[in-house]
This record gives sequence, structure tokens and C-alpha cells, in this order.
Amino acid sequence: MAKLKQLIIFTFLTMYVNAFVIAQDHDSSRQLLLNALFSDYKEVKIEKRAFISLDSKEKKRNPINYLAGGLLFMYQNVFSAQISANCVYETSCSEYTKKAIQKYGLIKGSFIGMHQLSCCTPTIHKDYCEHSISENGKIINRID
Amino acid sequence: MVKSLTELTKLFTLLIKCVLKISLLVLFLNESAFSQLDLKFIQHLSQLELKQEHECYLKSHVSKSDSFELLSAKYYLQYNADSLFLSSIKNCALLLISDTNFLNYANAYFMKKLNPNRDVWFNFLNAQAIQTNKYLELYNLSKTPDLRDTIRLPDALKKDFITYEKAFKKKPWISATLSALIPGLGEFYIGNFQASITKFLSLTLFGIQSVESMLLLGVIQPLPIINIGIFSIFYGANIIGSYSDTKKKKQDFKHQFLLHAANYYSTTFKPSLY
Repeated sequence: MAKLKQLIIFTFLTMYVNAFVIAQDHDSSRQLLLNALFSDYKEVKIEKRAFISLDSKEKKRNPINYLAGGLLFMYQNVFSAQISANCVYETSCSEYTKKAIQKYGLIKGSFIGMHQLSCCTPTIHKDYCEHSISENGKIINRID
Repeated sequence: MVKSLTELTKLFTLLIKCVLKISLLVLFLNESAFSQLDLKFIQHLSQLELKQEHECYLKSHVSKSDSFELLSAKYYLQYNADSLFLSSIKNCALLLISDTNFLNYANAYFMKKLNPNRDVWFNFLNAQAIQTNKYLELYNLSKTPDLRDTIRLPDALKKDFITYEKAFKKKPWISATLSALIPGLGEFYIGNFQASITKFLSLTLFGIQSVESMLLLGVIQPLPIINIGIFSIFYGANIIGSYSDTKKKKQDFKHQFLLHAANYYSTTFKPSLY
């Protein structure tokens, strides 16, 4: 019985000491690792994209515009950030589609957006003039 | 009699005082209104890009003369206030045309711009009926490009002009029709080879898959309906996209030609603000 007591005390004591030592060691090593590896690391804040703004009354009345805007909003704020999407165009395909819908309406706007999406390949730069490519190597695309 | 004399003298002195006061006021206002702008000081402010000081100095002068308007226009152009510049040049058109260096500077500046202000500026110059201006001549050539005009161009600009002329001939509706017949053919017609290959391959494969799913499962099934729906959206996008791309291509080549022309002439003419 006494041996059992001793064993229990001993196990608790070792557990406590061990946990303390591991915790201390773990924290310090993690801190050292962070300092060594991520000293220059800066957190990149992902911008929250706005919901589609419908200017005219006709566009505001159409519920499908809100559905399309909602889908784009969800894609931009949830999926795009998760999959770290990287577009060859300066204005990303989803943003371009949003702007196209704002300007031309749902049908033409989504067709124009889909057109950019289908053209979004790494070799598409060859089809554009020098002035259409920005300093960071992205294609400048504007909704005129 | 004596009383009336004293009253008269009082009136006379009052009159003289009033005249003196008014003359002093006029002199003061006159000086501030017609004071000369120090051109060298303005040049100094411009060279050092002291925007706020420059603006304060111009605002401190009440004058609305031609030269003042021209100096204000130069200020607006230096700091990229295009619309303000275009509104102020109407008041100093004659002076502006005679200032060749500044005219060349403004021409080169607007030639590099890809916005409606470029057209406003060159339309203004056309309205002033300027005879010998290379920039204006080139802009007018770019409105309706013709291969016969290549003789009038320097060798460095001929290649850009020919490519622009070729793009100018392409019709958007032909491009759209070709894309409707075979996906990607419209893009091939306007010279977007990468886009044409991508579109042809992606739409053909997706089309085959849609037909296959339709043949295997039947038409009224969820998968074929989704496939055909997505395929038709991309097919429509291909037609509309090639239509808009043809228009965009024209604009791009025009801008490239004008951009190169502006760079070419700015080395020969060396335009400056002052």
C-alpha cells in the first residue's frame, strides 16, 4: 500500500515537473524558431471586398443582380482568400466581372467576365501590347 | 455771407479728402490687380516642384490676363490636373499657340494619355487651325489610318503605324461571327493567338463532354443540364468577348502608335514647360 502511495506521488511529481519543463522548453524553442525564421515576416492583410454597387433603379429592382453580387461577394471574401488565387490580370476576374455587371448589366457583364476567365492563362501576355503590361508583370485591364 | 463761405470751404475740404481717399484706393487696387508675375520665381517653384507655394503665389494675384491664365494652365499641367488645364486654356488660346515649347510639352503629355482628355486637347488644337505641328499631324493620321500615309512618317514609327492600320481594318461583327462558327476563330482573326488556342481547346473539350453526358444519361438529367448550361455561357462569352476584344485591340494599337510617336518626338523637340 505504501509502495502504491509512493508510486502515485512519484508519478504526479514527475508529471508536474515534466510538464513544466516541456512547456518551458517548448515555448522558448518556439520563440527562438520564430525569431530565426520569421524575423522579416509581415502579416499581409487580405482586403475585404465590397458588395456590388448597383447605381440605376432598374438594376436595383432585379433580384438576380443581388444573387450574382452575393455569389461574387462570397467567392471574393471566402474562397478566393482560401485558395490564394492569383490572376494574370491586374483586376482579378471576379472583380472585373463585378465591374462589368455594374456597367453593362447582368447578362453582358457576366459574359464579359466569363470571357476574361476563359482567357486567364499564363501565356496570354503575348496577345497584349507593351503598354498593357504593368511593372509587376500583370495585364492592365480596365472597364472603359 | 461769412457763414456760407465757411460752409463752402468745409464742403470743399471734404470733397478733396474724398477724392484723395478714392484715388489712394484706386492706386492700391490697381497695383494689386495689375502687378506683374515673376516668371523666374515661378520657374524656380516649378523646377523644385513646390506645389503648395506655386499655388499660393498664383492665387495671390487677382489678375485675369492671358499670361496669368497661361501660367495657371502650366501649373495645372505640371501637376496632372487635366480637366482644370483644359478648362483654363480657352482663355489663353492665342498665347498658348505661340508658346511652341509648352505646346510640344502638352502634346507629348496628352499623346501618352489613354483617356478622353486626349481627344479634347487635339480637337481644341484642330479648332485653332495650327498649320505645322508634328504631334497634331500624327494624331490626325491616327484617326483614319491609311497605308499611303506611311511615307509621311519617320522610319521608327512605320512599323507601329502598319500594325495599327491592320488592326483598324478588322470588323468586330466579323470577329463575333467567326467565333460563333468555330470557338476561338474570331480571336485568331484579330491576332490573339494565345486566346484563340485556349478557347478552341477548352470549348471543344467541354462541348464533347456535354454531348457525351447527354448521350449517356439523356437530356433531362441534372449533369447534362449543368454541362450544357455552363458550355452555353462560355460559348456566349466567347462571341461577346471577341467582339469587345476587336474594339479593344484597335484602341491598344492606336495608343501604342501614339505613345511611341510621343516618345520619338520628345527626343527631337525637347519640350519644356517654361
